[in-house]
Amino acid sequence: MKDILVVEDEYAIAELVSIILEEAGYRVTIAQNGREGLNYLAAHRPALVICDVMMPLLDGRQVARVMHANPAYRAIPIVMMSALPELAQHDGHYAAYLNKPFDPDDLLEVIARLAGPPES
Amino acid sequence: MPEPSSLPDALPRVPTHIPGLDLILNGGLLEGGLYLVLGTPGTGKTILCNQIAFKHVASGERAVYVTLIAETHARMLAHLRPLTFFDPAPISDTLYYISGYPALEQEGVDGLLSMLRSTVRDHRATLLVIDGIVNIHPLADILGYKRFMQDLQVTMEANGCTTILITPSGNVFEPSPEHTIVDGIIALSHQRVGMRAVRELEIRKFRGSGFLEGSHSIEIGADGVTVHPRTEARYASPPAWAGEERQRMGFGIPSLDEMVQGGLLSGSTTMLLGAPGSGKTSLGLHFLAEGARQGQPGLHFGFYETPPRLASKASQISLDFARHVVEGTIEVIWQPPLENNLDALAEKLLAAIHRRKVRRLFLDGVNAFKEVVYPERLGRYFVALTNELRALDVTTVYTSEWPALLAPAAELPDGAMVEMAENMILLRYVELRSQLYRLLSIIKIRESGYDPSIREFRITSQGVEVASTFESAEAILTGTARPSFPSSGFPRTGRRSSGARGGKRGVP
Repeated sequence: MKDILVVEDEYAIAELVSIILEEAGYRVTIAQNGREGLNYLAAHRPALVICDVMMPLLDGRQVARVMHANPAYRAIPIVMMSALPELAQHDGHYAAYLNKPFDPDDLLEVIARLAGPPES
Repeated sequence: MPEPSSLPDALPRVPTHIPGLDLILNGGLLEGGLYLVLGTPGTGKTILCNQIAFKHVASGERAVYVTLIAETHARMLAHLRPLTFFDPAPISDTLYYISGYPALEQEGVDGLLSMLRSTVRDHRATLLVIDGIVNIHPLADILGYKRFMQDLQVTMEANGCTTILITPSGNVFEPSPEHTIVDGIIALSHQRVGMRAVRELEIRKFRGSGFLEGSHSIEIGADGVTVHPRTEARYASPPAWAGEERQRMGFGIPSLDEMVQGGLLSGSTTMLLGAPGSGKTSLGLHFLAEGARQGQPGLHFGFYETPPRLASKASQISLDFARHVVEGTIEVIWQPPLENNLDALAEKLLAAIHRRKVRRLFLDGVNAFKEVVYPERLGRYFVALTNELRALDVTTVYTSEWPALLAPAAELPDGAMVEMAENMILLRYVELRSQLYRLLSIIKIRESGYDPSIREFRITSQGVEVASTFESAEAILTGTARPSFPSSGFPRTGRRSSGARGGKRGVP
């Protein structure tokens, strides 16, 4: 079963993403800010990171920059998500962007494309 | 002891940039202060505070908006997007939206406070909005909550960050810690008065500053929240009249101007009182046209006649009104007499007067002001408005309906409309030999002499004409005119052409 890390400060969004992915067969871990997310990465290697842009302590773009700068994390695809499509400007540090609110099928399609099916 | 509003500020102001609100707050919130915005759901709290945040960053500052189990940021931003103040550019850069609930849930109020402190510091925010502060209550006892509020106040003050807390509580009198600790309370309400929905804002507390007390109406539209300070509170102390020596402002109707010694005194307020169709608007148009002829900017502020109808009416009496409008000497502002906001009307009127330095104002259909939510305000409202107009040296002529077409007694209407008039001109019909005639009489002119005699007047294709005398109308004010007129000032050559509608003869 593939691990997905969801870094999201909005409880309702994190819960929703978690339910959708777990029902699809992924194992989900939630971090509620960027710092928590990087702490998790220090000890785990998820198949993919879904990350909100605006969060307390460390935001999504900072997380993406840190991951991109560290060879140990660079291979982990990042899906950035935000409430504003204007924030989707690609800076090369993440693989895909999802605009909130998103269609569950779009979420699953992106995850499957970047991380592969849950059991592979 | 000086009034609070005249005291110098001990702290710099943080403008809210909400139209009207900074005026009520004497310039804005105080830097580093802790403020509570409260109101029941749907009163506009979230729009107000987001608008403050967007305007704050638009002025070059930085802000953080923290939610504690409110609607998701995506949903909130989607709701804000159609509003004109919404700008995606600063979001995630100088305007930051985050949820504080994970910190609160995991680490309690101490964790939330710690997160807020580091977020404000990291983002160098000078404005912090916390939406849903009420959600702290179940997670902290009274003492813990009080301590959180005090710590928040001290922390944010030290960071120079002004903080606004949003709470859905509607009862400010509930003994709640935030009410006693905060530096100010802005209460929003939404109620029905008759069939109308009324939104209001009231400053219930504002430490260290004066403010305009009482309720003020608010509107929520495409530009977000607009606050309309209560006119009578806003202009409670009008500046002393600073005009030059008072001028005579004539109507351009020789006999009438002669009756008022050359014209109305500048800065005065004159009521044209009359039955429907008695010629009030025509007289007012003359007043504006004469001003335009002399190069004095005029404003027609009306309710019942649309601009095209007004132009048509003016052209029928040979007034080149349309040309004056095109040339900008006269401006026409029309609004239907529907659900108008009293204070918004005053703002619109005074803004137009300031914009063009208007000298002559014709307020056509003042009865429309009666169709407001709080008619008991009208007396004070008009006193404040006319005081301000006088201070601006605007000469105002306004029309008021006299419901009686052929009343047996000339009884003046009661109320605010009469009280605000320094001068009063009565336009009446009189029935004589089965025909209607128009009569004009001056009831009062304050601070000036005038001719009190009753005159016949006519509306002809050449304009309004006032007779030099009307001796036959000695009993006109009692409605008992007798058919014996030795000299009216008009030659009478036939009954047909001497009627109220059809006469085309000039003043001899």
